[in-house]
Amino acid sequence: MSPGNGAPPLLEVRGLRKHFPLRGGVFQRTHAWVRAVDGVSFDVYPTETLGIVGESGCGKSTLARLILRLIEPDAGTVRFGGEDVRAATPPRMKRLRRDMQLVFQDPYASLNPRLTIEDAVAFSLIVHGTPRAEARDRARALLGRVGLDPRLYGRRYAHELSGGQRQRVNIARALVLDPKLLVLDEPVSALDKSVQAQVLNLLQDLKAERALTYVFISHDLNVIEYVSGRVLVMYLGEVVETGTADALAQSPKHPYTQALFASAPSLDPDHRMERPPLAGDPPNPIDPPSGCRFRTRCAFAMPRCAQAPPTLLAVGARHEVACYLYEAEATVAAPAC
Amino acid sequence: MIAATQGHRLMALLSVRDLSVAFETRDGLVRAVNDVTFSLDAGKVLALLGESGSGKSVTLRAILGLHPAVRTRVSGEVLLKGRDVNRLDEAARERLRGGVVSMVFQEPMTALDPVYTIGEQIVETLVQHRGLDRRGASRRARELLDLVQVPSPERCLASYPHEISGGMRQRAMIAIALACDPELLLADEPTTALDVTVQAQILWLLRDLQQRLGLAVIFVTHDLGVAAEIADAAAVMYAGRIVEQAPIRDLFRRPAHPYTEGLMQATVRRGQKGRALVPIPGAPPNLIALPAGCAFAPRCPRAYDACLATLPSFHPVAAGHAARCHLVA
Ligand SMILES: Nc1ncnc2c1ncn2[C@@H]1O[C@H](COP(=O)(O)OP(=O)(O)OP(=O)(O)O)[C@@H](O)[C@H]1O
Ligand SMILES: Nc1ncnc2c1ncn2[C@@H]1O[C@H](COP(=O)(O)OP(=O)(O)O)[C@@H](O)[C@H]1O
Ligand code: SF4
Ligand code: SF4
Ligand SMILES: [Mg+2]
Ligand SMILES: [Mg+2]
Repeated sequence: MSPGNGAPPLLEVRGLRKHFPLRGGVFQRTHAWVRAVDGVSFDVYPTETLGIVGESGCGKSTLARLILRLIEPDAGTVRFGGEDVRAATPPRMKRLRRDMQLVFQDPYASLNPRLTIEDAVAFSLIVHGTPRAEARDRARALLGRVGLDPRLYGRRYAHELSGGQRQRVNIARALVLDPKLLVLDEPVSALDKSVQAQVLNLLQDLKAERALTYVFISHDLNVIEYVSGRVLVMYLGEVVETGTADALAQSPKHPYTQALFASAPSLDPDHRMERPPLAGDPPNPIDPPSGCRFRTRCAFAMPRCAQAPPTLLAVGARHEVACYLYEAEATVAAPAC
Repeated sequence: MIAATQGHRLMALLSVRDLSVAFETRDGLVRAVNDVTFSLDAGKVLALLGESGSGKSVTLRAILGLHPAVRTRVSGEVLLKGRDVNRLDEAARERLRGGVVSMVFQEPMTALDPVYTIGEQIVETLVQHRGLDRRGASRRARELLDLVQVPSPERCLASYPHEISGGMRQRAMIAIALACDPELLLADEPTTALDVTVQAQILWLLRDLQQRLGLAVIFVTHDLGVAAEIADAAAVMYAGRIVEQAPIRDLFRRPAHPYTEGLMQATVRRGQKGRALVPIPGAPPNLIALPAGCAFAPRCPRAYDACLATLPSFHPVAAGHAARCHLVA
């Protein structure tokens, strides 16, 4: 669970950057860059869940696609089990693709409408060389495990299932190759609350059963706190704070993390929000503010916040924050993580 | 607040009685809203709570008389200031929409016209419904943007919808909804598409406006937390029926219907780490083939014989609090 037990990280991400060109005009010339992910580093240890939280457009999905090398970064490295993913030869990459799987938010868009769900789950096994009959048996067993009786559901098509059932199929499909790491991009965000709880429980059980490691992306802080051991808070393509879920919940340091917690409804009519914690919307990642990207919404912004971006500094055990307010508090630079 | 009694209905701003809406589709008759009855007093906020497909939006559209006549069966009464919306001709309904009641949608991008600036759209609304001249309307448009706390109103007025942020668009949408001084605002998940920090701002704004202007609001949401922030009372919908109505505090302290209770337990809260969630098993029923008894019975941990056989009626729990469940009887 913790890096303290000596195991090396399963996933090491260093300095990842991805800027998307925005083209326009008659000649489709690039006239601006979307700075989707801008210098992100973190480690994920075997069997832990790293939660990634942030508002729409802060770069979460781009980061997920970079980790799986579905898109190529402009800079930075991803190491999986010590191996540089970018340098992997095609046969190695095929192996790595088995070990790292992605589960998407929209359970409908990500399923092939022309395959029965049994075939959809068996598909990647067949691609990886498993005989058809065996692949189907394993797919059916896995469907049963995620709560879909294969006798009832195996021959159905994706459009004949509810959102929650489709997400179960997606999870089965991601697990069929026995991966080590699952990157889950908003896996429960499209689901109703009652079904969300079913899927969260399933994910927790599967993780324990199969000693899986999760990178769990969500914009819902309650869900992130619930599932994660450690949390990464992103704002406009950058990491602004990282720490254990408990440390963040109990003493969030970055003004943005604090505002995120304070903005979540309390679920108690007697403790309503007295005033909105933040003003304004997140700025456009096309032209992020200079210096600290949060400064246009920060109540504590100082002149120097506009000049240079603050770097992540340790403020506690495995707790780091990128904000000038904590410079004095910062302890000796912790080893990269 | 929500009153089931006849006498109270006379004073209510809105009184909905036995409202049913069904859609004729190729697969069969979709019974989207079934015998919905509630009323709302001036200046009060009612949350219409329920999961996706439970009939919240269809109910809201029926209040405005927005359902097209083709392949749609609407029955029951919607009394707005004593007048039945379903019996009015289209012109009279249009006057109601322009005056007494307006609507705010989840996705302002689809409700705003992409080819006109925000200013043009507000001015047009004011000219059409309020009979103001262009100059008066422009002045009022600016005031409205101040009212919804748009930081740079002039720039917003001159912008096209796609040029401003999601939060700003929702503010503009609210400004348009307020242009005709409505008494009743129908808000369909107005914060669902927004980020949490922006949602907090819009919720706070709506609450502030509601209090200052004495608006009555029906706030449709699937989010218990949002209902807790804004509502005086809530009506919980399941499979097209209201299954529980209560003052908001009662709903959270003493949910009486097993479905409401299930929702509360299934919702992930702060500080829940390490404890397993208690989901509601299964999924909502098919609205084409609703069961004879309680629609929640297949998922209800407390269901017994009577639940499958007969539809439970509303039973009072406390003042203003009632639930449609045999156990409450
Ligand atoms: N292929 C692309 N071309 C141009 N811009 C892109 C592309 N993919 C993503 N972006 C932009 O990069 C930024 C980050 O996008 P990303 O999808 O990673 O955000 P996110 O954090 O996952 O947001 P959400 O919470 O809405 O899913 C956004 O501004 C997005 O519009
Ligand atoms: N025009 C229509 N034709 C057929 N079915 C419809 C139509 N509009 C809504 N429905 C169905 O009615 C049910 C209730 O819809 P709605 O009120 O939009 O739910 P929600 O509670 O999510 O707002 C859903 O099953 C929906 O698919
Ligand atoms: S660095 Fe400055 S602007 Fe950024 S969060 Fe800290 S105080 Fe606010
Ligand atoms: S009527 Fe029966 S099935 Fe329906 S909610 Fe009550 S106990 Fe459950
Ligand atoms: Mg995303
Ligand atoms: Mg709806």
